[in-house]
Amino acid sequence: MFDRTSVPRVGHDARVDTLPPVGGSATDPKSGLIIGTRQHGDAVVVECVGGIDVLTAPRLTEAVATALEQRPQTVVVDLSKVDFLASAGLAAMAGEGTRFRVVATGSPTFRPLTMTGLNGVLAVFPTSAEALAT
Amino acid sequence: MGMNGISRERIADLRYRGRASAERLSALRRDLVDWSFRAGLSQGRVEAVALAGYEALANAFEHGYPDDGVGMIELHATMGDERLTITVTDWGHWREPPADPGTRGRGLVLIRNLCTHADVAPTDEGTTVTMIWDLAATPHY
Repeated sequence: MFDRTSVPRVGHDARVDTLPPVGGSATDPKSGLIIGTRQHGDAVVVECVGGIDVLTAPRLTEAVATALEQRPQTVVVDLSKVDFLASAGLAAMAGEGTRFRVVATGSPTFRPLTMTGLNGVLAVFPTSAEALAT
Repeated sequence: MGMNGISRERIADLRYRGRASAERLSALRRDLVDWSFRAGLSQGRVEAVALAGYEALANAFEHGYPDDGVGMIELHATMGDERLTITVTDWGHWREPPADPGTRGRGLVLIRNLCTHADVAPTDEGTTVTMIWDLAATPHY
């Protein structure tokens, strides 16, 4: 349908395919998003690699819900390895308590957070170390 | 010449008309990345085009899918001299975003912020979202 000549892709597939799975959660590189969950003291870190869109956002919602079940002091959603974040993914992070933190640095994640004003609602940190520090 | 001094190629329009699915939407956003990258846009603009285009597609998918399960959508991206235009059409039922912005409200906010000019036109038959990027202007993001 489209002319799909060999064009270098910007991020996306190659990066997801070559990175080792994080944590011990279910991983499926073909779906475009890998989610790993790890305990860090009183916090649970939900680390995402790949793209978060309508297709993959439900898995982030599920991972966050599972993390919250453990009643941790803090849930950190680490988006530092996410190269696409749609509004469907923002919904997975909205409306949570004060102990809900997001790690976002690059424009693919930081831009949608700021454009929707969510960076003023959620606690956004540049690194997971800083999100876990306080 | 493009914004980065890269000469922008004449590039064939990108078109899709067919059924919508979450999988198809993800494939189309990758096509938008490929297409706009090949057209010589900067990384920031490629990201803006992919996100705005995807939000419009997701909106169209939502209109068409839940009620009748048909979910036909159309995507058309075309590059002019200094202007990129993307239209996304569906033949579903337009629904006003709920008072609580939620996902859909945020999608429209993103669309309006990411392009130079956005227009949402509900018709008797469905909805067309038109997004225009003035490539000569400095992006405001």
